[in-house]
Amino acid sequence: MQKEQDNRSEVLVDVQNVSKKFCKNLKKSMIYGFTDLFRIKKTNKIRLRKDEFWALQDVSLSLKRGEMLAILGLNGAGKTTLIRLITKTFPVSSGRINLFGRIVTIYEKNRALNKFYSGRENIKVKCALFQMSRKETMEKIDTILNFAEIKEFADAPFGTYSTGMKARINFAIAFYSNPDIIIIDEGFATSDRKILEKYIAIIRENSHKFGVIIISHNQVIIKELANKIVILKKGKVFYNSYNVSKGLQIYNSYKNNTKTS
Amino acid sequence: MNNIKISDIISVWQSIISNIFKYSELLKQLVYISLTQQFKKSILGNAWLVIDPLMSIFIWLILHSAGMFNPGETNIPYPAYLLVSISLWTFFVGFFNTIGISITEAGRMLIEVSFPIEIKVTEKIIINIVNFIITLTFCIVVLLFFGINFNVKSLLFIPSIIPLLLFGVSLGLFFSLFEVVFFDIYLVVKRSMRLLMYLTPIVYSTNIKSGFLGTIAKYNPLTYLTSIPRDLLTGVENIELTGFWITSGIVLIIFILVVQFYYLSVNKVIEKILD
Repeated sequence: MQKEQDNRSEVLVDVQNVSKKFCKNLKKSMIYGFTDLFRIKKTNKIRLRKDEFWALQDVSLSLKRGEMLAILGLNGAGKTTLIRLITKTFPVSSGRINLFGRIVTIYEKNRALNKFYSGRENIKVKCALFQMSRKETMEKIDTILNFAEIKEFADAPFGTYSTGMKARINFAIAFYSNPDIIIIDEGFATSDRKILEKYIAIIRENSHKFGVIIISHNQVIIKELANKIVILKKGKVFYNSYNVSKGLQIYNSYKNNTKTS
Repeated sequence: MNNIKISDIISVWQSIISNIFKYSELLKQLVYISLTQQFKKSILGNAWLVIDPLMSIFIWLILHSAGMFNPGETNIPYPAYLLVSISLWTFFVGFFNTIGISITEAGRMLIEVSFPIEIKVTEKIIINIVNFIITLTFCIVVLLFFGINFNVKSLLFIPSIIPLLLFGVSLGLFFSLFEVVFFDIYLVVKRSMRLLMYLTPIVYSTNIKSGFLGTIAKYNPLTYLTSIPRDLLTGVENIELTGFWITSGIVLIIFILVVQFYYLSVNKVIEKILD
């Protein structure tokens, strides 16, 4: 019990005053990228150049083991940018992100998987991408196939799988790769109610083992899973609290006001 | 790139090596996928690694026999000369072609979760080496058919292609950054590769009787990087190594600088492929 309490206070993601800028104009973005190549020295002063804008500004948040953090925001609020900064896919423009533990992602699309290769082969690649050793992968492969309910199609090309099968395999790989941090960015969007309940049940049952960050437009999932909420508004943190139901109320009223205006 | 310290270079290399160990399973999986995928949709499969140089040789032999082209005096039969030369050129340009697009190619996986891009680069290096081993095996059989006498010096062929590898990797790494943020530059360099082949003694010998090509060949670093391995493999006597050693030294310095530059810059361009 004591160990579990200690675990629950363990910080897994620490986002400190993070800002990220992008460029609206593709050609300018490439030109800036080219000039930045030769800018080796780091500078603390960050200014916006023509056509650049702040996608995120001074964002701070944390995720501890056992926490399930829902990030809400209207389209363009910076949710996906924040996720890409946390997964270290994008470098931050300023600020700092510290990660402690193995991070896995569940997205709506399976971009890393190869349609010409079998489900089994794709599991091996994706497990390796999530830093699992060969031994760990071989130990888990049958569990993954069973959970995803695709054992009899394990050696069929991935391209022949249905959207539901792809989504299940994606979830199963992430869940069984011993993650510390699970990022779900609309990862359940293609799942039916029955499979969704299965995901929610298994995450809740094992919630003490990891921290979860969820982005979803489905508020049922958020109500069922989240115990912490952050609302982003135009790239800034607008609300950050453990009171999920109040957070949802605030978000819904903000969303409705935006629609009316 | 001002004031690069030895400690900076060491720290970059420590990081690269540690990442390769940390992601060794991913590297193995990527190599497996690449090796099996490159000709997955082709009936002839890996045979294309041999067919490609054979087709080039065929074209040059037709031009040669029609008297349209005088390659100059070669130490070994011209078809054998062409086979070794074109294989070496394919080896060199393969690094540029595959590493050059490695950042864009890794994009699909990088968007899932970040992993060190050097894993993708190492995968490309391994694939090119494996492809070259297949082509080289075929070359040796053909050279034996042409009565080429291999000697102890032929064994030096393997270490002698390292500078060519380093030069190809350097070009690939450097221009892979441009492939993302300044595609025009990458395209110009890619298109110039064929011209560069004609300016290097690949389809003609270093003894070609053309003042222009002779002068270019003299100052072209690829002349030394391709002709010395070729001469070593085919048992040519009295090889002049000075140009090769100087070029190799310069290539080594270029390689170290490019790796440093690439390592410091690659993260800045990765987001451009995912925008």
